[in-house]
Amino acid sequence: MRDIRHPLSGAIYGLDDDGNVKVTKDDLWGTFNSSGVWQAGAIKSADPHLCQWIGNRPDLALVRHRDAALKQEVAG
Amino acid sequence: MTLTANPSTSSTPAARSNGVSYQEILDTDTHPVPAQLRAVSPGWYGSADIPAERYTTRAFHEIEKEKVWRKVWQFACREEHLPNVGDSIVYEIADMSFVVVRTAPDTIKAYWNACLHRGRQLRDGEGNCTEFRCPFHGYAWTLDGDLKHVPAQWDFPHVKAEEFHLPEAQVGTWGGFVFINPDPQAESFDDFLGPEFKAQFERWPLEDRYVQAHVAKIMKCNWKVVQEAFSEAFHVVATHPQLLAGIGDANTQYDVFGHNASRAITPNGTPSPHISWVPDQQQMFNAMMDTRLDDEPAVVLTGDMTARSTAAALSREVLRSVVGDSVDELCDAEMVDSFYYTVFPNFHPWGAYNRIVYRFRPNGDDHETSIMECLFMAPFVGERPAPAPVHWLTADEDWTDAPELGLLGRVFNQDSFNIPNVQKGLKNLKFKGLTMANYQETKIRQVHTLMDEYIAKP
Repeated sequence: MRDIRHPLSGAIYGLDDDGNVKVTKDDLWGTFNSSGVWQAGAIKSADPHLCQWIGNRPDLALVRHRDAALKQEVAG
Repeated sequence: MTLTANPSTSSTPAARSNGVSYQEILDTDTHPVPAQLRAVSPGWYGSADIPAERYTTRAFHEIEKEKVWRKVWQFACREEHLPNVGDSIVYEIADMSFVVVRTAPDTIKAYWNACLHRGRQLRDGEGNCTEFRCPFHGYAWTLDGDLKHVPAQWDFPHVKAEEFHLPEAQVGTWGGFVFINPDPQAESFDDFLGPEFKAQFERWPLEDRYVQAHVAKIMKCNWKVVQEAFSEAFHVVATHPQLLAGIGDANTQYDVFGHNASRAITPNGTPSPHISWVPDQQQMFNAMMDTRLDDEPAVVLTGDMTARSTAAALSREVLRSVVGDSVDELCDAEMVDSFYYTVFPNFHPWGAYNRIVYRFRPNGDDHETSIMECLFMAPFVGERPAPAPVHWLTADEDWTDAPELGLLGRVFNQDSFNIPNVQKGLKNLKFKGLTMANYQETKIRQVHTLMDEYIAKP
């Protein structure tokens, strides 16, 4: 899922199997596209910027994590 | 459309965000902190609103062209774009075009890009030339701008060579960057840049870098809308929420240097004052690295390890392979924080080894679209690599279509999600103007204040 907890709201943002952004909080959930437009579920609004971060080109989201791991290797 | 500083408050307001100040963060550095980071030099440009018409109207665009772009020093290219005599580029700003050319091993000149016969542009793009020969009828000038050839000279007894020298723009260089100024009466480039700004970069000589990447994207907004989106950390709380556990956005220090330059320093590896919980060092580090809840941490912090010192140590080792053991003289702040400078009106070199340089300008003569450029200025070992060619992105392409930007492309996408909607909203702003912050939007206020100075000149 590669989830992020929203630092302000505490909601959990992650990708669902359909490539939408799934937002969960207090046993409720909603799904949104990468622009933050509601798709389904009881949670009807989400932070569009975190939806962007999670849902836009998620294949590239690993880049920084890989960079960090590379730095760790370089650091020995 | 001019601005007036609020006359009721003439001294610099001292209000700052809660949380640790940047200077207090520097006190915890594991390495000696250089003097330029200890400078605290806030600017105060009043609380006046910024008129929305500055971003939306053709009239203000025309004023900018006549009063600013025709009068100001502006970044045209890198010296490395002109390695050999005869190498030239075309620099365009609004409806003006200039040929910037190396005329001798130690001389760069700039000419208005127009044939003095019928006005055709002399050069259509970059390349090497031994003369400037107009493709239309064949008038030609030497690289030094002297008239060289008049076709059918019998028909031009009225053309005097001494009156047909190509009109020049002034040229100045700093840090490997070539600046031009169309105004022959303008102050010297050295005076314009000022010693305070130049001193900031003595530890980070940009002339020793090369253009590792260069991406230019058309933006659907006035050039100032996009520039101002990259001139403060205030937007991080709403636009980049994923960073908040590990970025002191509201603790950013804003300074001005000399008359035409400013600086912001945003600390990383410290939490945002906007969040109501206290992240531990691991959580701050994970936020810096975009490590998600279900990822293994890139580094497990133990004992006295802090997010800042750990990120700094990792970055030092990566940089060591290029700049050698001198990295040990660089403090944690230089390794992890964001230092973003602005030289009026549109040049934004980042400090330390952050690589970024931004330039924002109108997209040709269109006041409602613009060009945002991001250059990566990287250090190198051995022979200077060739500068990267410009990778152009259309307005509808995604920043991640430029993979050379790495993670930054995804960050830019978040910013770009706002930008066209700012331009649309500005046309519907039924209010007295844009109500900028006093401190966090210092850099923006400085640009508008300086713009007023240029506009007021005869």
